Amino acid sequence: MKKEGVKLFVDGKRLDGRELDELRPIKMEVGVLKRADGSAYLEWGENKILAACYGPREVHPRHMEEADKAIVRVRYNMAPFSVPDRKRPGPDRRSQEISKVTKEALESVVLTHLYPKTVVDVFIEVLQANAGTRCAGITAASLAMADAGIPMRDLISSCAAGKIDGKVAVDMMGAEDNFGEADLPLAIAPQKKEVTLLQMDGNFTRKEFEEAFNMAMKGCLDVYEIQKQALLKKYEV
Amino acid sequence: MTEEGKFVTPGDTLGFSEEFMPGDWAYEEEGNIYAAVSGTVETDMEDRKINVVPKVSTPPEVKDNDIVIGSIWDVKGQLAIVNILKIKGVDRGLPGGVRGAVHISKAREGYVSDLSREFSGGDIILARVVEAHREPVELTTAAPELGVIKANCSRCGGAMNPDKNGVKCKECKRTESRNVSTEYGKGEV
Repeated sequence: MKKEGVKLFVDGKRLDGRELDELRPIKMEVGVLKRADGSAYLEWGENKILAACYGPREVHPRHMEEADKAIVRVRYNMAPFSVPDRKRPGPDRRSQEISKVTKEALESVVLTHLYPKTVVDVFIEVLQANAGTRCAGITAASLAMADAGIPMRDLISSCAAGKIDGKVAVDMMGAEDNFGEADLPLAIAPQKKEVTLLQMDGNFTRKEFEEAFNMAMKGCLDVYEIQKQALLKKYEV
Repeated sequence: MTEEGKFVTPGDTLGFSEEFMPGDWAYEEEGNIYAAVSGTVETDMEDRKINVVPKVSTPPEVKDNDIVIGSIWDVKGQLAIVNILKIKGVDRGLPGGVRGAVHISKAREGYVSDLSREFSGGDIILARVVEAHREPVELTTAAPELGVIKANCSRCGGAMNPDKNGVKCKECKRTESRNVSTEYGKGEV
């Protein structure tokens, strides 16, 4: 992955002036859509993501339903205009994978036994992308589910860490993701710090991995606070 | 224990299982009680329960005396089986597959000798919930505003208009006997 000749540090700081352990600015808002049961809008650096949640409702097609619990379905989708070159619309290998891992990350906290034979549908639309959209998508989707009043054990917060020019850093932006050496997205249920998603692209040494994991964990906990504030802002009397 | 009236989000600790039972929108795990939805904390000292009063909209649930809209699934000798579709006045749909039943004694205010003269499969009805905790949910249509609000002709499938003692097909003029609601055809659900 390493490409030569691209400087990712200027005067000891990252390209956008951040420190190694500093997140991009994050803005969250819940209940932005009228027709959905729950929704959230998230801006994370230059990422702009809209998430909506429906349900629990009847499962169609019927053969997908589970007799003793609810299922969670997730669709992660990137808008054609979300990236510099037009993205060919529709599901592709990447978005299918992200939909699958997001589903698994979210489903683990839903109290599915309360609504047997139903489905909770979650839609994640990436309007603008600049690295880290799967983490941002999971974070927004979790907020949309909380907004829909789906009974959950916990929220899900997500953040990534990576390696750029041999240094471990949190929350990589577009250029760092393209020219960096490794990426480690993490999603957790923050109350008990349960890991619900952990992926790795590129190579870390064991020491670097631990450093990156801890950095991403800290990032997740910061994201969690912002999620709580977003819910509080909308619903506190 | 979390203070009364505090705003909590899913996963926030509310108390200990030794002290309280998990009430509405709360759950118990490993000796602790946690919130399952976002809302404010309410402690019920009489029943020793901790509830969360939801501030977000939650999936609707059928309660006693709710007016519901359903479709007739089947009419058996004493019982009309109903698929409950939604609660009147609640925008959000039910979490799917809620079954109800109208007993012959609760189909109309007077005496009913033949339930198939009150409902027919596929009718859309307005009913009141008598007992929500049964399975199927017990319903009644014994009131003028309750009963069939939309029916289709059993011969040609055409839309039907209310007629004396029942409904009449707009297309083939066939008349059928129904328990027609005063709300028939108004389309207000």
